[in-house]
Amino acid sequence: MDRRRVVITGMGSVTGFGCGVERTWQGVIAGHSAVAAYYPFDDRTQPAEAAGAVNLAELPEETAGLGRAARFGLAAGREAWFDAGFSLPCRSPEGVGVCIGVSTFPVIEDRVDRLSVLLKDGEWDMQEYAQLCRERPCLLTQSDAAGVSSLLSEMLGARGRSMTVQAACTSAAQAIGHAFETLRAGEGEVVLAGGTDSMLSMMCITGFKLLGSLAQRWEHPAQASRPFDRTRDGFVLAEGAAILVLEELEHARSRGARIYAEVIGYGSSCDAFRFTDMEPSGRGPVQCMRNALADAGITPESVGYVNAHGTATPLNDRIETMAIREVFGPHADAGLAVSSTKSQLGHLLCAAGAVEMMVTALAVHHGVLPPTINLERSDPECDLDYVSAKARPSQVEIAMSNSFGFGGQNGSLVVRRWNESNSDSSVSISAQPERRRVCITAVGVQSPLGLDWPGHRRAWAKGIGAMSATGRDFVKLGVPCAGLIPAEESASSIRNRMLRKILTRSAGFAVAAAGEALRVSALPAQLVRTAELYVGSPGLDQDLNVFAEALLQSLEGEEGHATFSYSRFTRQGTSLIDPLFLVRSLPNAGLCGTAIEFNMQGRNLNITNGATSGMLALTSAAAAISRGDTDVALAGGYDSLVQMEVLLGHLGAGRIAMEGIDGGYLPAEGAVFFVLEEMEFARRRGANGLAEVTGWGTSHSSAEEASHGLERAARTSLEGYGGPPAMVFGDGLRLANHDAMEAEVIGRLGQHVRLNTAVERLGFAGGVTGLFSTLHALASLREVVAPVIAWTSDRGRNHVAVALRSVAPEVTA
Amino acid sequence: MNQGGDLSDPRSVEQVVIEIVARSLERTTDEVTLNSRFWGELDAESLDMLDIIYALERRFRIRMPRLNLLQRAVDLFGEDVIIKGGIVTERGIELMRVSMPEVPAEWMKPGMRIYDFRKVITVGSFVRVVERCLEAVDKLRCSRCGGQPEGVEMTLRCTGCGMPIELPSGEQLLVQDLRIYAQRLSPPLVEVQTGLRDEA
Ligand SMILES: [Zn+2]
Repeated sequence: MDRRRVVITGMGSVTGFGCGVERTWQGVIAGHSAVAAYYPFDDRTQPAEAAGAVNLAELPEETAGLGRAARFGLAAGREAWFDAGFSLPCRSPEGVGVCIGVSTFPVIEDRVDRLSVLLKDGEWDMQEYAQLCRERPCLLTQSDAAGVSSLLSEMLGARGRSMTVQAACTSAAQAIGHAFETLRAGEGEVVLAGGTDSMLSMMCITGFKLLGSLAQRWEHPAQASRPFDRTRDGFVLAEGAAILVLEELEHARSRGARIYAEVIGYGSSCDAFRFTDMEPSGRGPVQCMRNALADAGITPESVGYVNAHGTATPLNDRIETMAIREVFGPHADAGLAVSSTKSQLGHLLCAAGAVEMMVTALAVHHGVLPPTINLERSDPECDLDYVSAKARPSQVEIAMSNSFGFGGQNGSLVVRRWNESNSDSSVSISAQPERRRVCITAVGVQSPLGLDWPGHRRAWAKGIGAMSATGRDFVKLGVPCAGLIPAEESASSIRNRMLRKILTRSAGFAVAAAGEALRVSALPAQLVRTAELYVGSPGLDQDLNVFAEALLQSLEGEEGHATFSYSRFTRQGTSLIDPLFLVRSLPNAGLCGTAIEFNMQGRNLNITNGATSGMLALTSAAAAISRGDTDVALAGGYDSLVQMEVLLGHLGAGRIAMEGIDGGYLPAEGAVFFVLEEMEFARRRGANGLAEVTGWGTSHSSAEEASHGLERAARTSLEGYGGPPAMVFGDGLRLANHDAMEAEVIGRLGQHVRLNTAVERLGFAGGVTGLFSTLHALASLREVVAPVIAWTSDRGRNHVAVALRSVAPEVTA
Repeated sequence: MNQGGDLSDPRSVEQVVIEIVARSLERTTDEVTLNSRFWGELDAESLDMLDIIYALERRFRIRMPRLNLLQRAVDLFGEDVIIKGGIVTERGIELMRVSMPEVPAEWMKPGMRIYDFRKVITVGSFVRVVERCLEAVDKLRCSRCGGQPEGVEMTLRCTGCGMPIELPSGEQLLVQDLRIYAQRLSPPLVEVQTGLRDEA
C-alpha cells in the first residue's frame, strides 16, 4: 500500500534550559546541565531533590491560572505552530489535530494552606475538601484528563481529533507515533504532537522516592543524572514540554514549509512482564526497536544514532544497552552512536519522548550528535559509543529515539535527515487507501448490572436496577447511591498475584473484562501475544488517603492552626506512605495489567481523553485493522467516577444528580472490551462476527459549536452510507447543554432517528459510557438493516462516533 | 524487648516476619523459612520487597533501611575496594559475609556479579534488620529529660515530658554497623570521602 509521508515542520519547547527550542538545543549541544537543587513551597532551607525545573517567570502571565503542564504545553505548542509558519486561527481546521502525552496528578501543595482543616481523624474531611474545591475551581482542572490537549486545539481553532495519551515515560513517544501513523494513513494534514508534564509535586517526588527510582547522590545537582555511568543510581525528575508540528509531506511542500526531518518509522511493544522490574532479556525494547526499523523499511546498519531512553537507573541502562546490541548486532560497535539527553535535562516523564525526539530530529538536521554528560566511569555492562562529554559533528542520515515506560510500554521513533533529493522518491500520494473490513468477534463487560456480557444483558432485559449504596464519605457529599461493581468479586478472576496487589478497583475491572473478551474470542495464545492492545483509561486513579497520615505527622503547631513542615514530612512523614501508591496510580495500569495477565506483547496505545477515552480506543483499533497494521486487536476501556478526586470534579461542575440540582447523572463505574478482527481473517478462523464496524469519526469543537462537532463525528462514521442511521445510542446525561447538543444532531440526522441512552439506568461511567452505548448498539443490530451508531462527547469539546452493522450472512458464510 | 506496634503479641519476631512475607507473597507460612531467598526461590519482585518492608515497618514501628547494603559499602569504602568491573571483590565478599551472618557463606563467593548480590537476601536477613531496628528503639531516650519513649501509632513520645522522639533511621543504623564490621576485618577497611549526601 502506498503511504503518505510525514515530516516535522515546526518545534516548540520549554525545559529547564528555558523557553524556546533554541535554548534547549544550545544547552544540550554545549554539554550543559539543566538540573539544579529544587526547593518546594518556596522553602529555601531544604532542597527536596535535584530536578530539571522550569523557571515559571519566563512563561506568559496570562496562563498563570493554569497548571504547570498546561502552561508548558501551551507555550511549546504556540512556538511550534508559528515556527512552522502557520498563523492563528488555523486555516483548515478539519485537517488539524492534537495528540499529546501528559499526566494528571493532583497537586497537594495547592491545598497546603488548609491541610490542618482538611485532615481530620487521620483522613481527608471530604466536606471541607469539596468546599475548598468549589472555592478554587482550578483544583478541579486536575481531574480533566483531556484538559491540555483541548486547550491546544482551542488555541488553534482546530477541529480534527484532539487526544491525550498516557503510557508513563513512553507517553510522548506514543503520542508522536500515533499522530505519525494516522497522518500517514490519510487522516488529516497536520497534528500538533508531543508531550508536556510536571511531576514536581510533593506527591510525585515522594512516590518516585519511595520506589527507589530517583538518583540518591545529588549534592552536585548537575552531576546527579549519570546515564550509562558505573555510579548511576537513579533518574532525576524534570518538567517541561516539547511539541512538534507533524505534517503530511505534500501539504508541507505546497506551502513551501521548512522541513527539519522526516518521520519514517514507529515501533511499539509491551514487556508483559512486571510493572517496575524490566524483563531481564530486554525482549520488549528489542521488539520495539525492530518494529520501528521494519515500519521504516530500513536495515539496522542504516541507523547512525540512537537517542536512548537512558534514564540512569542501574537496570534500564544495562538492559537498553543489551537490547541495542541485540538489535544492531556488529553495527553497535561499528558506527552506531548512542546518547542520553536525560543526562542534561533529567527525566521529563510524559514529555520525555517528545523533547528527546526533538533533539534527535535536530541532531540529524544540524549534523551534530548531542553528548551524554556525567559519563566518566565506564561500566563493563554499558559498553556502547555513548558520545560522552562533548557533542560530535556527524552527518547522520537516520536516527532513532527510544522510550521505555513504567508498566512495560515501549516506543521507538525513527527520523531521516531531510534533503530535497529524497523528496521525489516514488511514493505516490494516494487518496484514501483501500479500507479492509473490521468486525467485532467478542465482548467482555464489567458493569453494575453484571460481571460478564450475558449477565449484563439478562439484568438489563429484566429491568434490574444498577444503583447501590455508597460509603460514608460519598453520603456526606450528597451522593448516597452509585452504579457500583462488587470489586472483590470482579478481581477474583485475576491470576497474577502482583496485579491483585496493585491494581485499583477500576483497573481490575479492565483485566476482568479483557479476560472475558479474550476467552469468548477463543483466540490462540500466539495470536493474543501479538495482537494490538488499545485501552481508554481514567487519567486520575488514586486514593489521596494514602497521604493523610503522613501529612498529619508533618504538621507543626497548635491543632487547627498547624502549618505544614516539609522537612518534617521528609523526615517522619514519608515512611508512613504506602510505597506502592504511585504504581497503583499509573493511568496505564489497566493496559499493562491486561498485557501482563494475558501475555500481550504487541503494539499498544493508552488513551486518557476523558469521556471519549474508551471509544477512541475502539476506533483507533478499528482504524489500525482497517489500514492493515494488524489483523487482531483487543480494545476497550475502564473508568470509575466512584473515586473521590474524580467525583469532586463532577460535583464541582454541578453535573451530579443530587438534591438542589436540576438534572444530572449518578456516578458509576465499569469496563468494556472488544476483540476486533479483520473480516476475512475472522471468517477463516471460524470466528463469529457479532457486528461489522463500518465507520468511525472523531472531532474537536469549541463548546459553542458542540453540536456541529458531534454531527461531524457522526456523519464521518456514516460515510459510504447514504441514509440516516437506524438508531443512535448516545449519552443522555440530563444536563441541559449536553442534551440539547444531542437533540440537535439527532434532528439533523433524520426525523425518525431516536436517541437511546444507558446512563439513566447505569449511571455515568466516564470513559466507559460510550462503550456501554456501543454494546447496546451492538445488541440492537438483529432488529435493523441500516447502520446503528453509538457516540459520546466529552463536555461538548471532543466527540467520537462509531457505526455498526450486522454481519451479513453472505459474509459469514 | 520492644515488640513494636503490638506489645501483647507473644510471637517471636521470626514468626511475625515469616507471616508478613507469606501474606505478601501469597504463600503459606510452611513455604517460607528463614533461609528462603526472595529472588528465585520465593519469586518476589522489587515491588514485593517494598511492600514487605512497609508492612514490617508498620507492624514493628521501626524505620528500615531501603538501600542496598552493597551500594552503601561502596559509598563508604570506595568503589574499587568493594567492586571491580561489575564484580564484588574479595574484600567486598568478606565484608558482606560478616554483615549478613544469616546468609550461608558459600552463597557469597568472590567473582559474584553485583547484579546477583540481591539474590542472596533471605527472610532471615529481614529478621536480622528488624531486630536491629527494634534494639535501637529500645535504647532510645528522650534528649530533653532522659525519659523512655512510648509508641503512639507510628510515632514515639517521651513518657517523661511528652516530647515527640524520632524513630531511629534504618539507613543510619546500617551505615553505623557497616563501619563496625569493617573494623573487624583484617586489615580493617578504610573509609573514603565519597561526597555522599548525609541524610539528616
Ligand atoms: Zn522527655
